[in-house]
Amino acid sequence: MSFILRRLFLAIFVLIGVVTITFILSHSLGGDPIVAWLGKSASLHPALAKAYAIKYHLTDPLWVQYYYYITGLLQGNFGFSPSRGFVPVTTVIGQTLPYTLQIEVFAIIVSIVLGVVLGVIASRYRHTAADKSIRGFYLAGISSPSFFIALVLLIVFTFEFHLLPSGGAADPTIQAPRIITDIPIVDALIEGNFAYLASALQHVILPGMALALGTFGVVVRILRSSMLDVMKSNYVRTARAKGLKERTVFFKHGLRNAMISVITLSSLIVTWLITGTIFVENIFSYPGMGQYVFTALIAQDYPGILATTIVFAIIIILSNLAADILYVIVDPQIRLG
Amino acid sequence: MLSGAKSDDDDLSPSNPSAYLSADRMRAVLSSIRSNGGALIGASIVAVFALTSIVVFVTGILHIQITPYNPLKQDVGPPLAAPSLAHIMGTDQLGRDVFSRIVTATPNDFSVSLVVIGFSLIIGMIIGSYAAFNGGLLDEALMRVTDIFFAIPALVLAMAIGIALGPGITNMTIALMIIWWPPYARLARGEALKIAHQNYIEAARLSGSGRSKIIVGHALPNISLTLIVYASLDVGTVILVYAGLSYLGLAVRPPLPDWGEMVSAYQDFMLSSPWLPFFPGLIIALGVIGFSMLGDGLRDILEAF
Repeated sequence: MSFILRRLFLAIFVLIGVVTITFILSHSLGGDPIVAWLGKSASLHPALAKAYAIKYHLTDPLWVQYYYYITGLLQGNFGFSPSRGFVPVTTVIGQTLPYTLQIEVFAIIVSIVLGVVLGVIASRYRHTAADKSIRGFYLAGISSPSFFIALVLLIVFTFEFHLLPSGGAADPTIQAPRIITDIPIVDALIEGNFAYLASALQHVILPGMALALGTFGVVVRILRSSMLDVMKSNYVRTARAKGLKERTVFFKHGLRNAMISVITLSSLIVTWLITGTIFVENIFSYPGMGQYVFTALIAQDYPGILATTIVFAIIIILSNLAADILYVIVDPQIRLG
Repeated sequence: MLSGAKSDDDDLSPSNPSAYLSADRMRAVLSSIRSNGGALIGASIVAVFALTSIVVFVTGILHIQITPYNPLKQDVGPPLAAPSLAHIMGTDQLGRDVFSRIVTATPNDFSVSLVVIGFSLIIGMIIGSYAAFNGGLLDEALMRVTDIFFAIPALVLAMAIGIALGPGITNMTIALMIIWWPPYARLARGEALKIAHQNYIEAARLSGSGRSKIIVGHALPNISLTLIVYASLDVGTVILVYAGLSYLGLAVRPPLPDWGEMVSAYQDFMLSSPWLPFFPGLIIALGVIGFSMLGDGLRDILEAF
């Protein structure tokens, strides 16, 4: 318990650091934010521009702005998003985060399943043609920019074979489910709205695959190498000496232990996926946070940039924490305390 | 175990505290690169990219055109022409030759990644090893700062800094330099801690060497190989993040060519001419594959020592 508490304490410290660094960076962006927010009306109505500058504390020194921001943050107030018509940022995050979570979760499941299956094949049939082609496949995936994978998938599966939709979160002609959990796919499932569920799942496949194809290789790589270590270990030799079948030894003694390294890796995958969503959501016009970051950056939407960076950081910190805790649970040899 | 090191140890973190740079070792390393298939392919790809970069850079200064067409000139062929013998990667919507544009953009990605990695390597080694040998506040501060950097996706941070500085290759290089060194410092610190209590360090300390002399003379040479291997695997990541920034329009201004920018500019034409965004994307992937294979091979070889 003390280990988890200490990690939580550290996570809060990191979060404060993230807020401070992004605050300083985003407030030193070039250009006049008022012009970016109001467009032409900023020069046409200088009084209005000044009123906005005063209303959003832009005329105050940076540390005063920081004070306002932090006190607001502690009350759950992320400010207002100029790039979305001055709607509260929390509202925008509330609308976009569920969609990002949908493709992230899909992508994590695909990367881990694909990674483990191919990793098992690669380590079972080491140095064969299968092992080598798997290596080529994941190397191509890891090395390709996510926007490139997304475009290739779009060209092949949408434009050539018309199998999957080109973008959006679901078919707009289908009645969306009532908001229960905020996550549309889960809501559709609860409500029994299977038409929407099917459409939403179809729309998740391509962006999710575009992300997963870039990350599953890390799982293959780590699983293959830790399988090699594990299969050399004494307990595997003991298991073999007991006369167990090679199959049993491989899956029960080998794979189970090698999976530990996959768990620690899963938090790293989350970081990679988040970077990818910024491109992938744009290419598939998926209404998630990746697309929000993109528009916020172009529009110099400080509150939006800050809030999305903080939410991304929270996701990464939480997944690191989860991986650490899982690690301790799964491997009884490790007692971090 | 000098040659034929099989790529069995796919460990993500290179760790070999005893690896030491010396002429004999370098010769042995070079000879095992020759017998390691993956490393050889990687090295060849990297060599082609490096050579192209140098040639393009030098001929650019001398105003000699080595590409089949002027990369900026419009209507050198019909617009949106499919790949053919005259234009092996086709032409874009303005009738510019895509192959010439891709070749001309080679030094961008290459030089950005080398500068960023070189800077991170040097800064990381210095800060990391001083933190390890000094301990105390510097050490604690370094670890906490890297914790923060690890929690923010590199691309998001680079985008924020990049927009603050304004678009441009130099500004993107600076943005990447600011965010890239912390993992190196952390790795260098870890490696330096491993050797801090070894006998030869103690011996140097007892013989009256100062801290700086021990770090420069004994610690840095010992941790450098591990860091170089990590760096060689990391070059591809820089290329990918830089391509992302370029795709977002932060690196070069049109009409100058850049791989990431070309993908985003050409993706509007992917329905009628799918090869247009395909070729620059493929070239990015190929460059990254080259560095990953070289880095993988290097790590396998060095771990065998």
